[in-house]
Amino acid sequence: MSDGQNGAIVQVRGLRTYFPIKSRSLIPRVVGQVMAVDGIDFTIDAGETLGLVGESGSGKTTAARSVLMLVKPTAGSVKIDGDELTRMSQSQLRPIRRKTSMIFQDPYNALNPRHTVGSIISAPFEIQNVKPEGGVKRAVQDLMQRVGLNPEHYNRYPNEFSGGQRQRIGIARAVALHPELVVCDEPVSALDVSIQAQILNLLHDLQKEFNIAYLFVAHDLAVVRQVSHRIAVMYLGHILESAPRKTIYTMPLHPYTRSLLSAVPVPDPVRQRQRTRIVLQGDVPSPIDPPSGCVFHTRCWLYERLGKPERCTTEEPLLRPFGGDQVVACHFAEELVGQPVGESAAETAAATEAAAAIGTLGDDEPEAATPDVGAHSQESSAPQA
Amino acid sequence: MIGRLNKMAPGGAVEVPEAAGDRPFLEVKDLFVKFPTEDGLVHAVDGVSFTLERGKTLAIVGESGSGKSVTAQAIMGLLDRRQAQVSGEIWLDRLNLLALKPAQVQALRGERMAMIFQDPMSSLHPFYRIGDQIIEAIQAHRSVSKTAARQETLEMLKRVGIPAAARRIDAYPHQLSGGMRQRVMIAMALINSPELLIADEPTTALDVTVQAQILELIKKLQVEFGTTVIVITHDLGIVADVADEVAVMYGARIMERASTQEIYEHPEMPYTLGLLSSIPRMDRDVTGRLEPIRGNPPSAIRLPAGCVFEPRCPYSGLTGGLAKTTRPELLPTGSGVDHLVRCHLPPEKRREIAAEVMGKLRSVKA
Repeated sequence: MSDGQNGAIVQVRGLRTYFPIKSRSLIPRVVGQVMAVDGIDFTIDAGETLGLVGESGSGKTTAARSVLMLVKPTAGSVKIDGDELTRMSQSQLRPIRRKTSMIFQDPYNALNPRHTVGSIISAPFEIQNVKPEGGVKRAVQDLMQRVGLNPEHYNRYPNEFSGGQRQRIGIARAVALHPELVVCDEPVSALDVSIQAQILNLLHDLQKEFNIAYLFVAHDLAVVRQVSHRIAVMYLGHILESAPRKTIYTMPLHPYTRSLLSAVPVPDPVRQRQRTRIVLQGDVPSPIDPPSGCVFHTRCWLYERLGKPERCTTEEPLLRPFGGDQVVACHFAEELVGQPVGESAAETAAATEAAAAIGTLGDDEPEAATPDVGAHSQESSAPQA
Repeated sequence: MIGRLNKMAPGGAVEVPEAAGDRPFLEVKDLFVKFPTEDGLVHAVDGVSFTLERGKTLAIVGESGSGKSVTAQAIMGLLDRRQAQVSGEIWLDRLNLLALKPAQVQALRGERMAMIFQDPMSSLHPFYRIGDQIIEAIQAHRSVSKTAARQETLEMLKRVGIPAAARRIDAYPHQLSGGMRQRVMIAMALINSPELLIADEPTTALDVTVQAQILELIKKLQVEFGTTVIVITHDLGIVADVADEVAVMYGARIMERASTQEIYEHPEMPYTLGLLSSIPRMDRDVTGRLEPIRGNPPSAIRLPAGCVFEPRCPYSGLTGGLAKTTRPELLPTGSGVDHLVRCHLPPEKRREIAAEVMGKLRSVKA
């Protein structure tokens, strides 16, 4: 459908992925839902990188897996090249899968230790029954060369390679059939910093060469900034803000984005010690029972600053446009317009307050903000109620 | 303070050899740690020396396999002497830790020195309530009643920012989130007011917002308790945030050592320059491609004969072959300030290279 000329390769609308929680009785019944992804929209153009950031439990990995139908979405629409995937059977999906692939976080577990590098990288050719000119072996060796591996190592096993080299094997496999979309799930977070830069450069070069679109999932905001054209910030299954890279990092309008950015230490002692850090209290609430209204209001400094407006607890904010492709899901985003990052009076006050609160927090801390006792056991097994 | 400044001798009087004269609070001298394996001798720490003044924070920066964690384990006496060959001297306030008996080191551990690990579950017992584990840590070192110890534990849990501490004191580790468990471990490490705290990648497993909470906490508690801290990390942002001094480790050796400001403003060792250039930074413009360090770290079994960074160093050709054959020493840079570097490049050449690399980095300032 799309000819690849900067049309949208991926279109996601109203995507929801819930995981049922079953009771542990003889006849299990569904007693709740983990709302991992709860209604998100985004598009990715050809040759573009969308960075998906968020803390653990924000739903970013589930969202990425749902796009590739590795997890069946509960509702919503996922279109790749105009084809609706959510209603397709596995056999209908197979030809679509040729256009997509995935790079995983852990280069140690993503490769079968009993297969040679040659057979790992040639798997996509066999599965999709693609016969490249000059034979599969030749194509695989060209790929190995391209990603910086020695083609003579064709018959070696993954355990003979370092972490960075294994990630190169995974990348060679992912780009073997020149996919239009590659989902990268934390592709460099297991690697040492000096190796990380090598892999990020490789991904950058391959994108230019093959016009690949990346959905880049990561928690490291500096890495995401390095690779992404646009960035979407997730929290408890929702996208709270999405904007072009520069806008997200210089003029974010969601209070959560601002706290997230202020939390990343910059490698410059003078600057770092001058920055005001917005320290969020507590942990991410449970996605089984997310807060009413705005999901972030239980930890929001702007909500506190504005005197806890009722609207935040009753009405779910929708993504609203703020010009220049920036959308923000906050009822009070206008408060932050024109306020540079780290300089608004509200932020500074929030930061000071938060700093003062550390160490003096006691039993007076509102329980709602930190529902972590028991949350873990509930996530892994069913509540007994 | 909780009023425990005068410490009691743990488990009865322990005779420990003392040295006379002024010593820095912590001094590590010619530390070597080797592990014999089937493939050969692993040189995990290869001649590490440094000193640290009381109340300061030292960051040991390095990648995996650089020897930073093994150095910390050697200081804490956590290496199994049947598996590790340890030599050198480690002086903690006039006590040579390596000359002590294991029981003597154990008495010091948890009382005068404590450690925080990357994974809190590795130091919390899953079967016991967190409160009981901290109470045990108190009673192991001091004769305090259970009630008093429980009260002290509760106070400490509040100090490290655990909400509803009165209820959480009876929680099991699995009932707490990762950030909360990390706080519990910090509370346990600080409960006997140790003079030395070693934090090994204390926030690597945590989200940035929780990391920010924990770093603020460590900084605040350090001011309050006057603790000497060693932070082990690979994150140059964390170093810039918390450290007074930095030791950069690579291939089992310290490659460069200076104050934090000096390391970031006037780094000299090509490895440090490589690290600073290869990380994506929030405070600089995005340039498309990064400048990685070429190649891979050396094997700890076959460390290069000369400079351990020589195989990856873009400037090793300028040493006239010296980097390949001769091990460089950690020497003053000669710039006047307290700054040591392990590099064969002539000082002028080194500074010229550093100025060029740093100039390039600064030119893309956002």
